[in-house]
Amino acid sequence: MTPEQWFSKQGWRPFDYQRAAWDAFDSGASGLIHARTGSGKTYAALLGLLRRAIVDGERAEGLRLLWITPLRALAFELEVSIRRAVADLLPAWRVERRTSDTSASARSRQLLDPPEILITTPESASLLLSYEQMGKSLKSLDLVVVDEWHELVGTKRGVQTELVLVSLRSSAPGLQTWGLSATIGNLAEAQEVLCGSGSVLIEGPSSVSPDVDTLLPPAPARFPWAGHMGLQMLEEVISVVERCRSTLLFTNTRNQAEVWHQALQGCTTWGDSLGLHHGSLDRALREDVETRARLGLMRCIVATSSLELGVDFPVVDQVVQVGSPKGIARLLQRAGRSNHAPGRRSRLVFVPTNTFELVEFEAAKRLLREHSVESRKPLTLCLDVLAQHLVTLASGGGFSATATLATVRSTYCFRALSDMQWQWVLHFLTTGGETLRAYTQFHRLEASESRYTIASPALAKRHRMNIGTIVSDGHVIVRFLKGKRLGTVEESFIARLRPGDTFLFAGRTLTLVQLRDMVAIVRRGSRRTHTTAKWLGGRMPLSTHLAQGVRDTLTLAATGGRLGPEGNAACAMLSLQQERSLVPKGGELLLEQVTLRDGTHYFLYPFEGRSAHEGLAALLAYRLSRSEPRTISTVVNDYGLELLVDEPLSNPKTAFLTALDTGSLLEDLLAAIDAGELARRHFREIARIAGLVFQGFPGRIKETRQLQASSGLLYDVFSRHDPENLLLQQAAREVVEQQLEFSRLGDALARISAQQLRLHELPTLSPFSFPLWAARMQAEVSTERWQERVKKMSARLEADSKRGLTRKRSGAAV
Amino acid sequence: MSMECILSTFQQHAVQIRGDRSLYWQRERTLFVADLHLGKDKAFRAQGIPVPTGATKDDLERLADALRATHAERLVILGDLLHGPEGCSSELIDTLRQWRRGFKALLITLVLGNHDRRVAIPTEWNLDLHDGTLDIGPYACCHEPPTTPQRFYLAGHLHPVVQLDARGRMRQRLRCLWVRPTGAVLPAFGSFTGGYRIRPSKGDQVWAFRDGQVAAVSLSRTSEETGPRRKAEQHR
Repeated sequence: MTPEQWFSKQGWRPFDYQRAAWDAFDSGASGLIHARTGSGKTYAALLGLLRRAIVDGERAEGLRLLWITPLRALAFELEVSIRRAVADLLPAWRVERRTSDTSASARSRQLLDPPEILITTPESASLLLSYEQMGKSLKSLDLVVVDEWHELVGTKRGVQTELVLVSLRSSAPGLQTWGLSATIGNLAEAQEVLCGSGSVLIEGPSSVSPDVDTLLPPAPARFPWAGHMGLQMLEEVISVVERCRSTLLFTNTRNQAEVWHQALQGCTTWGDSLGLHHGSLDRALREDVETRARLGLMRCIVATSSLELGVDFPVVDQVVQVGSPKGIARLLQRAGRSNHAPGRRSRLVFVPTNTFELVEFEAAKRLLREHSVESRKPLTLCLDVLAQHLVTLASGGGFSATATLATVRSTYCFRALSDMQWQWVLHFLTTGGETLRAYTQFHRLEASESRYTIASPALAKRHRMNIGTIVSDGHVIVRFLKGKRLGTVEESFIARLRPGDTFLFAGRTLTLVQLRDMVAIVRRGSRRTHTTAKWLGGRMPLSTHLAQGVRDTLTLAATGGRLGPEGNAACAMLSLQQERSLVPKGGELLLEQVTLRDGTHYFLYPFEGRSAHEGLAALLAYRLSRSEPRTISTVVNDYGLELLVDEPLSNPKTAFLTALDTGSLLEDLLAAIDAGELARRHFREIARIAGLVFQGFPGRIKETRQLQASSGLLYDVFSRHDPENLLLQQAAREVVEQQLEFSRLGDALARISAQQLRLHELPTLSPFSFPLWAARMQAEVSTERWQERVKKMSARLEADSKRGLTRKRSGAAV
Repeated sequence: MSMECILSTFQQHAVQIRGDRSLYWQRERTLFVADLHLGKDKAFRAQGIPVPTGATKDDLERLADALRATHAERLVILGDLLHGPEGCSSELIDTLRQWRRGFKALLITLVLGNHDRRVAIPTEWNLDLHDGTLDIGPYACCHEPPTTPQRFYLAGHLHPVVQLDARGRMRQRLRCLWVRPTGAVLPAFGSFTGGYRIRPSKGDQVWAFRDGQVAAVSLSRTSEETGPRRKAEQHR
């Protein structure tokens, strides 16, 4: 049977792009298949190989296809679809999965007798290289498929995948690589990272833009403030959910998911057909929800990005997005979860949690229509990932330095790897890193005649337990007295509770019984609780792309252009802003000055997203206080930033114009931020990946405690005793590039320094400045008092504006 | 690095809280330290985790400086002088023996900690060993803070740190001395040691250490009071 015949047997007809992919594979090419979810990408990548294998007839045994997927949960679905074709076309071939969920016995069997097709994750694929006996099986590989490559590019998992690919290519020279990707802004670059130059791009059907609706709040507040959960829209959301069979409701944070789940539970009779899914829940709980969803038993699942990828629920009718979409790629990914079948439009419902998000949703809608999606910039020179990879190779029978250097340099990430950096990594793994003197008693890799091997089988075993680039925090396991595990919370959260305290987690009210050895024993609580499990961590900034969209929408509003329903709903807020201050057009940069009891507040609105604002605020505070020493405190959100000073600046316009200068940016920025402290925090990820922090064997926490040190502590020890360590430098670089989005900051500064600075001095807060003021309050006072004060202030401002603000605005445009 | 001290009284006796994380009882010329964890870096290296050398040597130098500065006649180590057998190499035994020679007249008392018990302490170090609680004047010296204190205790073991909310966004975790009505928990003296975040209650006093400086902490500035709401959200 040919693939075409198999297709018609299924009642399908191959798309042209699928045929093109099979033919391209046949010609020996590698490449990227760009098509939307649900358009048959899997078979486009698979059947070329099957067709060739049928023609060639039986060949020597061994692994033929390695299928790498970023999500464990996807592996199962993939296995089902791949089996379906293989069972008919090549019944002798075995299809198996190998992920961290696979049993130890199955895994060791796979090493001795590998299947023809193995479905795995980047981490497990990397692990294969650490077994010497796997070496021979990998030589027979014909094809590696990297699924959802758009999710991996731009991450350290992507870098790990690059390294795995070049290792596999060096042992199986004819190996072909095919990637599957959804739309991203830099598709060509992503293709080059995966396949190198000279590869083929196969264009499948592009995605149909989803049907989008926004739930408009009946009376959008004119003084929006972030920080509440949008539960005022609860009733509308319930009726939207009830008009369909099944809904996925996405929130931006796990905490928000818990709160929404509880609210829906309390206000509906959906019972078991309401589910919760986020990354900190125990796998069993998540799988239960997934299984019931597949069976069509779920009316509504409240989820975070944990359900964004892959998991195919054929019966999801609509996707609800609560709160800011943050970026278009992410929104498309989420929207793609509904009506997941070729040719059908997905349905997306936006739920704004504050008035400003109406503007974001309007911008997002336009960008979705235009298919305009963010880029994912590939990372470079991640020495931590390289160090991990080399230990992997050393565990799998060893590597030779010269050959491996050439292989490593053939990746996109390490193409600019210098001899010095390479030597340093080798030193780091053999003698401990310092170039001048070796760490005493250190051993990890052993070198003999330029061949490197692992120092002991015990070290190899430990390395395998710790492979990966996903770093998790100090997690405390939450479980019931009887033993059922619910998931994990952060130590910093649970440490603030005392036995007897109740909190909301995993959709349940729980009472803490005891906290011991990183395990929190709980029982069901009955009392109502106001404490919901929280997870720390950076909030995702608005993407550059969506930020530009927001600026365009504001320009449209300021110039009297036609707005959509979302923009119109935000109109009351925008016209009040225009009346009191200004809605900046493209080419204008708004600076507001308000003197309140606590000092003079300067609000600047670059609309560049939170991380860029963070760097910008630090830079401005530094430069403004350089000429004249003063204390400046800063607050940022996705739209703007606030600087609070005791005394008004004598000539704010000139001061800000000078401070927005684009010269000596990096130098000033590093002086402005506590770069050391940021790098220290960032070192956690690097220390973990480079194998400095040992996560321990599962269930054997105690035995490894003697070997545990926090990454912050390691950072201090390295800075003091080995300051030349390149991993420290990598931390500093990643902070500037990733955390502070340096290039974006530079672009933003170039853009805004060319804009006309419009200074408005206001008697009181404007709708734009109010959320920044509220964020400052939030940082300074306790939760209850904060909400009270913010409510009071917003009521006062509303009352003011209704009275028409009789007081004349002092000093309008300067 | 400058060194600072603060004077305080524990049980009507004047004590110096020193910026190097030791405690000095002037009347009895006794210096108290806790949790040095010497050789911890070595234990890491022996297990294939590349940690630079230097922490152990540094800590011993700092301890010597404190002894010289105070002219102490007695040193009381409140447990965990050593990290464990993996780190207790012949090199460390030698280093400590030589270090000991510099303080011939000094009486050194080691109240054994859980880590010390895993090691046979070399007799050549000339330490006065105690298992359990040792009463010195008004103080009950022990490693682990007692659950039901009978007398005012001086203890270690916890490696207390306090979390301070600085203005802006940065939060700091600093090692601290935690004084409760029933006793005091000393900060870990060793530089390669982690920390346990304490939750001081009303009536406690906390002193935080950073770069050889010590400062009293007003308890309203700890995150305990102001909470981590603003960074409460995360994705996934």
